[in-house]
Amino acid sequence: MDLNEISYNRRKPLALQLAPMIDIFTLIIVFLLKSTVVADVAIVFPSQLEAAVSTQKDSLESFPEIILYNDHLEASFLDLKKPLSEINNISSAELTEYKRKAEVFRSKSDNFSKSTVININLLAGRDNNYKNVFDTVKFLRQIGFQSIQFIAENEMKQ
Amino acid sequence: MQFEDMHRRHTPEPDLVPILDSLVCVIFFLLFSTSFIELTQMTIPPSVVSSAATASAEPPLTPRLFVAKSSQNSLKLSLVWKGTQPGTSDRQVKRKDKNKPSTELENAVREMAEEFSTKYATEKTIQLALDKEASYQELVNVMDGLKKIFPDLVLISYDEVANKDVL
Repeated sequence: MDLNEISYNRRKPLALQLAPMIDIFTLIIVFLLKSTVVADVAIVFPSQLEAAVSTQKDSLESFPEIILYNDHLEASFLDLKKPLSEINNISSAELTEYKRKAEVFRSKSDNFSKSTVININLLAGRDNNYKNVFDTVKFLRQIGFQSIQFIAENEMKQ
Repeated sequence: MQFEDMHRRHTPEPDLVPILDSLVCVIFFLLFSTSFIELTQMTIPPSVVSSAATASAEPPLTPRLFVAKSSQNSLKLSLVWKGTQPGTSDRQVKRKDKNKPSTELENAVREMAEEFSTKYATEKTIQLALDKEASYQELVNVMDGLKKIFPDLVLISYDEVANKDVL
């Protein structure tokens, strides 16, 4: 009996299996790619305005913004900057022009965001008056926006 | 004595790790791609032309809430509705600072809306008008009070408040 030829059970050294590790990492990457949501809903309230406080907790949606200052109205998506005193006395030519701009803005939106084109986010300071708010809402309806979202800060209840 | 090398049958062992990986992949794919659709069936009866005179529909309620300034430090809330039994409901609310949030105003509006809703639970639309000097904060407080009962709010002109003569 040749004892040298008997093979003993050797302990195999631990080997790192790279292929399954790469598979797992690929899965993790795919999962993160699919589940990551990049939220682009961010409203920057102008520093000159103090937001009103609301107890409602509705979710914020990404709609075009109109900012109502105490003396004028601004809407960058319509290239609009107008004193509030002129909103009620707007000429039909100007109104037609704003309607056209609103229509152009709507047509540029892709199909998935069609719901954004009939809604507006209205930002106003809490000390602004109802007359200005109503006149602005009336103007927006005249140029084709159907629904106004009034933006306010949520009251943090302790 | 030499033993011959015995020919051993190497039993193939399935490598489980890649199988598990691919199964997990398939599960994730199914998780993200599955969407549930509820199929509904609607049977539309054949249209019927009736020559009999239809019963006259009830006149609409059109509830309106007016918020007017009744004095330096208070607001008057008036809820007015039409319909077969028109009515009105009034309340006074003190206000110290019109630019500060007011839970009294919100609660008063909510109570009026709930009272109306006990009589007319199906009405979900309300028209709202505030005094032209009322603040945006007051508008937000009033809307907060109405939102639960009346999800559909329509703003009407401040001139309606003046014409209503609520003072």
